[in-house]
Amino acid sequence: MSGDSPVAHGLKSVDFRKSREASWVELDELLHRATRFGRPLTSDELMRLPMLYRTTLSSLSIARSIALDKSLEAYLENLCLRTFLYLNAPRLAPDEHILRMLFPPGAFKALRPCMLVALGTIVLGMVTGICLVLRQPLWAPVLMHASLISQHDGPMDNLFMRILPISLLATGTGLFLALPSLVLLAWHGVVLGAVSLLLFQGAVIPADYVLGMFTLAATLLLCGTAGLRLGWALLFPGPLRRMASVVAYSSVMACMVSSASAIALIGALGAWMAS
Amino acid sequence: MSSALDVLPRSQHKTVQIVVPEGISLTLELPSIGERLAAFALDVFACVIGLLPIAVLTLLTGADAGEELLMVCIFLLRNCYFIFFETRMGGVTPGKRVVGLCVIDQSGSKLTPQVLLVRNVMREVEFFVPMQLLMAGDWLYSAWEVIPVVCWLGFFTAFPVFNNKHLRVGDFVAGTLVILVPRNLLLPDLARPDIQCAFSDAQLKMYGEEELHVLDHVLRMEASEATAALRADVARRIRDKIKFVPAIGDVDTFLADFYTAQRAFLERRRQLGKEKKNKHE
Repeated sequence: MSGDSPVAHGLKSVDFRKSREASWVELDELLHRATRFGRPLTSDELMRLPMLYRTTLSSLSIARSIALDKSLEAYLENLCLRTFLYLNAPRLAPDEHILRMLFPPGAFKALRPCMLVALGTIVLGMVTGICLVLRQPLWAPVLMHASLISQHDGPMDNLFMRILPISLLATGTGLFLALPSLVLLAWHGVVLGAVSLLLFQGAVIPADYVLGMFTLAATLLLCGTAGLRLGWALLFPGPLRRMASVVAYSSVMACMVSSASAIALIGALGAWMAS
Repeated sequence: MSSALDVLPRSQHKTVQIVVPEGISLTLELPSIGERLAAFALDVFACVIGLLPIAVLTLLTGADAGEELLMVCIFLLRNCYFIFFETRMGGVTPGKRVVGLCVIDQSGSKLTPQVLLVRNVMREVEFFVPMQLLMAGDWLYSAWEVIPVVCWLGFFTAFPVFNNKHLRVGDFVAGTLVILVPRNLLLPDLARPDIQCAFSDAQLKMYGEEELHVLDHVLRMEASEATAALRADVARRIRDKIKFVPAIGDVDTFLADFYTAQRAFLERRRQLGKEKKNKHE
């Protein structure tokens, strides 16, 4: 063998691998056991994970600079990625957090101006409806015919075919500066005013229809607020870029929509039991 | 060896880099649209299976009450299934697990339940609500009502096609990304502890790191007749290029020895800061 035999100098990458391989194999094994259904890791093993993760990350960094073994680098990168995903997975006990998920603490306060606008629109609509029916009672059947909820369908059909899509539309059209949301709110307000006046005057209206109307009002209020906020975020993003401001408020809006859906579901169940 | 670069497997998936909080960048593979669709189809199938008992009960007892209960159950299940699994299993639903996908946050930070909620509410809007409207045929009276719904569904379904990370609208708004997470195995080191053929520095200077990578891949290929022929061809080319005088003998031994020597040489040069990317440098 010639004097330049590389083996006489020893491959650095081989030494590096020999010294670290045991920790990688241990991490791989721990991860595999952790993500499988079966016995969970003991607390000692759980404590090992972050430390092994950090040493593997540093191994990856070293491998990238000194070693020319691509398969080793790919393996380490993959191992680091899987550990990262495991350590950063959301840890949630559903019973603990579900209420906080649906009704986050600061959400209603942050959306107060939009909610006031939505509420104002519905109230304006109601006042209009009441005035119309007071002046000319024939408006009542016309308005009820044009209402967003059908009298002929059952409450569940109403829920899925009308209430939910319309509310989602009210949120989604926030993209179009929320003008359609306002239109929906006003329209519903008018019909709601007419129905309320009729009830006050003692007319007989099917209970599930009335419950459906009020459910839609509540749902539209919440979803309309979310839609208005969306429109606002697009029009006046403040220091952020437009899409970034949408993303920033998206979780609050999703919470609005899900709480609206929950309310709609409860309302529809109530209407169904009343029918 | 230039045409031998063709033996390198071309990566079939697009990749994205993220930087973990510790400051190291990792490469993420993005699944193709077909893979995402497959995972979604599996999840929907699982939901349908979950609803079978209730559906059968409804059919047996008859009456509208059962049908309306079924509608409510469908609604609850399709929402709760995704949210439950994504929050409990770390961004993975059973369908996604089968295909090997995972949901992560695009910025590399921790996934919060709020973000997962946004994703799933948007899925309602994108797919389930228009699907439900279309499938309840008697509600839609005319073409004027069908066409907007079809456009609604079509727009959202086509959205992943038109952006390079294959994001759904839900991913876009929530700031998440769906990636492929395979499980790589630790392959044994190809470098041998001692070698039989001797190579001089002048001979080892001919090739660079890219060629070493190709040789690595050739040596790891599964043994077959085609592979044996390929290896013999590679050995002959190397020998001609570096003007290696003695006879080769066993092809595999020669290639393994050359690999070890070449890697040691290039790693030493790398340490001294003199990287050689390929034979043309």
